Amino acid sequence: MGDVWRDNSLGLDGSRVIDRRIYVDPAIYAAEQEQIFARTWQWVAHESELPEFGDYVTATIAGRPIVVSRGEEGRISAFFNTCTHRGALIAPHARGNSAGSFVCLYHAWCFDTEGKLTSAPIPAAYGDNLRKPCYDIPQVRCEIFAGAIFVCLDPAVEPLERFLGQSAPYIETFLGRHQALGRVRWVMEGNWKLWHENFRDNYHPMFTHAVIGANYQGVKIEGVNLDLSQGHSLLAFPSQGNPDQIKSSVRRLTGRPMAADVTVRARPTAGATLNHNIMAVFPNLDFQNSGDGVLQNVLQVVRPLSIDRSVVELVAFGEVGEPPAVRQARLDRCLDGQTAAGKISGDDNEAARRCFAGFGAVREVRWSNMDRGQEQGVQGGKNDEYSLRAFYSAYKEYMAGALAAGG
Amino acid sequence: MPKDESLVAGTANAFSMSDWARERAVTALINRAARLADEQRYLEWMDLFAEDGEYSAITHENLTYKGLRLFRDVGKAALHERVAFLMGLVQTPRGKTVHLVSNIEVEPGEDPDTAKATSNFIITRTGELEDTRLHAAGRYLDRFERQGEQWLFKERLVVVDSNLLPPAFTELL
Ligand code: FES
Ligand SMILES: [Fe+2]
Repeated sequence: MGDVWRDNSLGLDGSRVIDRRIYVDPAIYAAEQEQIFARTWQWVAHESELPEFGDYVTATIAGRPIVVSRGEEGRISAFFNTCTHRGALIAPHARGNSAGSFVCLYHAWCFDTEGKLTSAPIPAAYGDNLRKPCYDIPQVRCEIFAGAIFVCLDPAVEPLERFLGQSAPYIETFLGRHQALGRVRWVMEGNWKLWHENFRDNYHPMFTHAVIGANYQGVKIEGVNLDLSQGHSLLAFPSQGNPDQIKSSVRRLTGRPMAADVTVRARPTAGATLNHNIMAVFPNLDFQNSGDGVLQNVLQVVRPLSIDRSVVELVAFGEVGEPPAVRQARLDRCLDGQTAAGKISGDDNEAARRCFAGFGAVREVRWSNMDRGQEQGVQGGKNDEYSLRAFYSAYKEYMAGALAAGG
Repeated sequence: MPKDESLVAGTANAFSMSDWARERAVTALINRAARLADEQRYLEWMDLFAEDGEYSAITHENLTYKGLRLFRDVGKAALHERVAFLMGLVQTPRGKTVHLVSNIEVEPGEDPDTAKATSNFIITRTGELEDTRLHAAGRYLDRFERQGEQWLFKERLVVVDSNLLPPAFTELL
C-alpha cells in the first residue's frame, strides 16, 4: 500500500505532493461532503452571537440546514432546520430570535428551542396518528469550547476537545473572554481547499502581497511553521519589518512622498516574540491573531457552494470589557487587510482564483509540490510547509477509499 | 447600537440662494468623486478630501449590528496609502467601474462652512474578458467642509448593502 499519492511525476514522497484532481473531480467533491464535512466538528457560531433566550443562528453543513438555538437556562442545542411535517425551514434567518417557539410558516406546527414538537393546529384530523416523539426534529451533536459552538453530523464523533487536540489551548486564548463583533462573507472563485491552504502557506505573503514584500526587504524572516497533528497547524512569527520600505513603495507608486506613518503591519523587530499567530483547524476553520498595532483577532470558515465556488465567512472578536478606545480601533481597522475588500486578503482571493483556473490543465499537469522544509519532525521555518502537509495527511485519512492512486 | 440613519432630516421646504449654491457645490463634488474613481485618477480623488478627511466602508449588516467596518482611512496619509494599494500594491486587477450616484439630498451642517448629504449609489464593474456585473449598491453618508471657495469631503461612510461580497472588492467605492 503506502501513500495514495506515492506514484507522482515529481519523484517525491506522497506526503509532499498534491494530486490536483482533488480540486476538480466531482466524485471526490461528493465524498468530501460525506467523509469530511459530515464527520468533522464544524464551527457555527460564538456564544456571544446568541446572548438571549430564543436567539438562534443557522448554517448549512454538508448540504444539511442546521439551527443552533439558545433555550431554557441558557442551554444551547442544535437540530436540523426542517419542519417534520413537510420540510420547510423553521428558522428562516441567518441570525434571529424564535421568542421561544419556532412556528413553521406553512401549517404552523410549533417547535420549542430544542426542536421538540409542541403543537400542531387542528390536531383532531390526525386521529391518534400524531405520535409526537417521531415529529421532534432530530438533534445534531453540539459542543462548546471557549465560547465557540461546534456541531457535528456524525453522532459517533469523538468529543470536541479531543478533536481540537493541540489547537485547543490556542482557541482558548483567542476566544475565551471574547465576544463577536460582526461577520463579513465573500465569494471565493475556486475549490474550498484553496482558501484553507492559503492560511497554512506562509511562503506566499512576501510575493503575493507587495506590501509585505516591501516590509520584509532586508529582514531575516523569523517564525515557525508547525504541524499540530490531527490536521491542525500553526504559524507563529514576530512583528518584523521595515516601514521605510513601505513608505518608499508608496512614493514610487504614487509619485508623492508619504506624509506620515504607514498603517499596515510594519513594525521594527522588538524582542521578537511570536505575537502573530495563524492557526488552521481541520478541515475549514482558521484563526488569525496579532497582538500589536491594531489588535486583530478574527476567525474564518470556508464552505463550498459547489466544487468551483466557495463562501468565506469571517468573524471578528474583541475582548470582553476592553477599553472603549481599543474596541473602537478594532471596529474601525481590524479588517483593513481582511475580506475581499482587504489590502491583503483581496490578493489571496485572486491567488485562489488563478490556481483554480490553472487546474484546467489537470490531465497534463497533475501534481502540485508541497515539499518545503527538509528537517524531520513537525516543525520548520515560517516559509516551510509542515502546516500544509498536516492538512493533507488528515485529509487522506478522512478520504480513505475515495482518492484514486497512481496513474 | 449603530442604526441605519440618513444624515439628512429631509424636512426643509424653502431654499435660499446660499442653500442652492451649497447644494450645487456639494453635488458637483459627489459627482466628481464618482468620475475620478471610474477614471482611476486616484490621486485626484484623494485630493477631494480634507487633510483630516476620512473614507470608510461598512456593510449594512454590520452598520445595524456592532459597527464593524470593512476599513476606515482617517487622514491624508491613510488615504495616500490606499491610493498606493490601488496603484499597484495589490495584485487584484483593477476593473472598469461605473459609479452611478443618485437621490442626493444635501443639508447644511452645524455652521455655514459645513454640509452633509445622503445619496444612493450603484457601482458596476467590468473585469478582463468579463461581462459587466453589479459590484455594489448602497448609500453614501457624507460630511463636507468648505475651505475658502472649495468644498471638500470631511467624512465619507460607504454603506454596502450586499451580505455576500464579490470576490474582487478592492475598487474604490
Ligand atoms: S411544513 Fe411545517 S407545518 Fe407544514
Ligand atoms: Fe496571503
